[in-house]
Amino acid sequence: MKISSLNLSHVVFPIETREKIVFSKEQGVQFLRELKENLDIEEALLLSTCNRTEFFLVLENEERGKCILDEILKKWSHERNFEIPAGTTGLIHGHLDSVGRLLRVSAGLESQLLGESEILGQVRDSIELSEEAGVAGPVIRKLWEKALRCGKRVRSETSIGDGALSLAYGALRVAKKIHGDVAGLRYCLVGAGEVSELVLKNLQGIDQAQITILNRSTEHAEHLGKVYGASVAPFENLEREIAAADVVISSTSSKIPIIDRNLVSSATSGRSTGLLLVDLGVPRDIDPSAKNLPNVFLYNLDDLARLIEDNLSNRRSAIPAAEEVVQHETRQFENWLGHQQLGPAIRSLRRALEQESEKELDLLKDEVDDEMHQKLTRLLTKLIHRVLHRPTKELRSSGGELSGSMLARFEEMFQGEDREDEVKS
Amino acid sequence: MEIVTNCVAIILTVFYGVLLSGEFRRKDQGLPNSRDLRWIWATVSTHLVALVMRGVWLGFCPVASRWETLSLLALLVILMHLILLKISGDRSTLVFGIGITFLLQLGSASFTLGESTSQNQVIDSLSSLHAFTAWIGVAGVTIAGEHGVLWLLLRRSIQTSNFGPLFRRLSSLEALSRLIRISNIVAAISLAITFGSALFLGMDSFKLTEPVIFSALFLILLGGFALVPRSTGTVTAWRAWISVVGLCAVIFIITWVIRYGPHPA
Repeated sequence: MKISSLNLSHVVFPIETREKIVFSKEQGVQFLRELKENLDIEEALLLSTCNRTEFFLVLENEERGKCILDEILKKWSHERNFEIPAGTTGLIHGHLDSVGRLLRVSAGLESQLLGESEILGQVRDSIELSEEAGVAGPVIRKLWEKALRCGKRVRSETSIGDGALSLAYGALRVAKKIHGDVAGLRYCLVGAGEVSELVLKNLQGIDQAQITILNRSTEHAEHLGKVYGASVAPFENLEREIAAADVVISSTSSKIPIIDRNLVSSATSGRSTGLLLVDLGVPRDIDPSAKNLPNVFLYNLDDLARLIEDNLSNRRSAIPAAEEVVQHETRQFENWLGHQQLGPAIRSLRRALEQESEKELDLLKDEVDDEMHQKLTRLLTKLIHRVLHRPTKELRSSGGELSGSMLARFEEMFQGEDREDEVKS
Repeated sequence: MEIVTNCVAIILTVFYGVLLSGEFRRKDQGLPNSRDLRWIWATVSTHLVALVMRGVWLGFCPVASRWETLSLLALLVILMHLILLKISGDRSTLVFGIGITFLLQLGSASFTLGESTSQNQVIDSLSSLHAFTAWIGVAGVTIAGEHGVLWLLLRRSIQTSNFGPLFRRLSSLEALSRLIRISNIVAAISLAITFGSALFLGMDSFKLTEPVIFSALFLILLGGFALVPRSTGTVTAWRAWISVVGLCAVIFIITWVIRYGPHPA
């Protein structure tokens, strides 16, 4: 059995294209069902997220798998209206690359944010599509299990998942250090530009986050509020909103600080908890002297960049250790697959010997009595077991080293004898 | 007996060292699992059994020598930390508690090697009971002070954008402020036990000497701040500073004990 894969990820395709390629759960199941019905595919796995659509196929012949994937890519390109970049060879991978690929994806080594953990959950869910479509065979299931195990091992044994990476993640990390939990906090976003939108995207995953957007022009703020489920307040209420917030993130294009020390001071008088002010504006939106107020924690772009850089360098340093885990798990999968491939060959050999012995015993049936015949049957069965024990053991131990063609030839040799005998009889 | 005492003191020090190393290398700072705590409890139980046996052998609480006092204080500190962990569920500060315990036990082990453990000063059992309750008070103030220092350091670390080991290891200001309040309550209760024992046992130490006045004043402050619900961050800061003052007093007491012994003539 060989695995081939089609990998369409953020490395090659921009967000505009990935949006066209992404599969919903229903679409994914439908696609896999069609594949099973039209091309008689028994095992496949589709992993489709906002950053990647990866399709894994299990077939006897690797070349056939690659041809099928090439056809699928062309079909998707036509149906979903996107251009395939020149040199598509980088999108379709052969057996070894495909196995390593899924394990690397699961480990977060192929992620846009190195070591991010969401991908592990997405890989975990991907088998549901295969199960619903009836293409979750033993090989693909084993590969999926290995990918999950590899992802968990990499995150527990290395520091690849440690630390925050985006500016918003950095801000949330600091908020967590102050408030203990980011869920249920009140966020106040000052400004409604691109940076605010990015921050809003990052805040989407937080439970019970109460987000308020303030902007001089309410039109864009209202649009963002509708898209991301945030409330909008007039800019004149700035002091009141800061007083009510736990985290204030400002990113306006103002040339002078719009949040001065006095405003922060009066907004924070009598606060029971700390206030995190995050200034993502260039030039800065918040007066730097506000940092000296009690219960106020002021962070600007440089502070957050330092936090992220520390974490990114930590994660980068964990790549070699993570690669080692991936290679180890890939080897284990290959060994398992090797054992699985030996099964038919060993069964053919055993069956051929058993059939031969049965034939010889049938010839002797008239010459010996029943008791002797039974004794001879037992003797031959024992003999076959004894003769085959060592070669079977040897074959299993060298299973990973034997080529697929050799195993196929081995299997055919004994199946061939069966066929010849059948023809003669 | 001396060889046994030395061996037990050294083995306990090694155990706490191993626990400290394990806790330091822990990646998950969430709730403890039973397996991890089992080892800590096993060490603490061994320590407790060792001190109880020592007490039975002596006929009074083992507080007569330097090594006994430091070892008892180490046990009380780790026990109070475990109580705090049980109440709060926050394990991020346990490593510091084990660190203090390890240092105290290390000091105790070094005194067992330097002093004769079989020729102790003999004190009456009532005095030893009072001394024991006094060390409960000291242990309570120690953990309150430790959490006060950690809260102040973490706040400074966040304010100055210093993303060092404290920033990474400690859970959050909010969680630490809860821990300070709980540890202040524990400290106030343990100090109250100390004063109560002096009062009920009719000890001479209950006379209004300067250390007693200082301790009583400290107890009132600690108890007062422990009872104030958290209305502003400033209250936590005050609690932290009061705890730090207490910790300074504890360091002074420990230094005194190391220099002159627990019962100077």
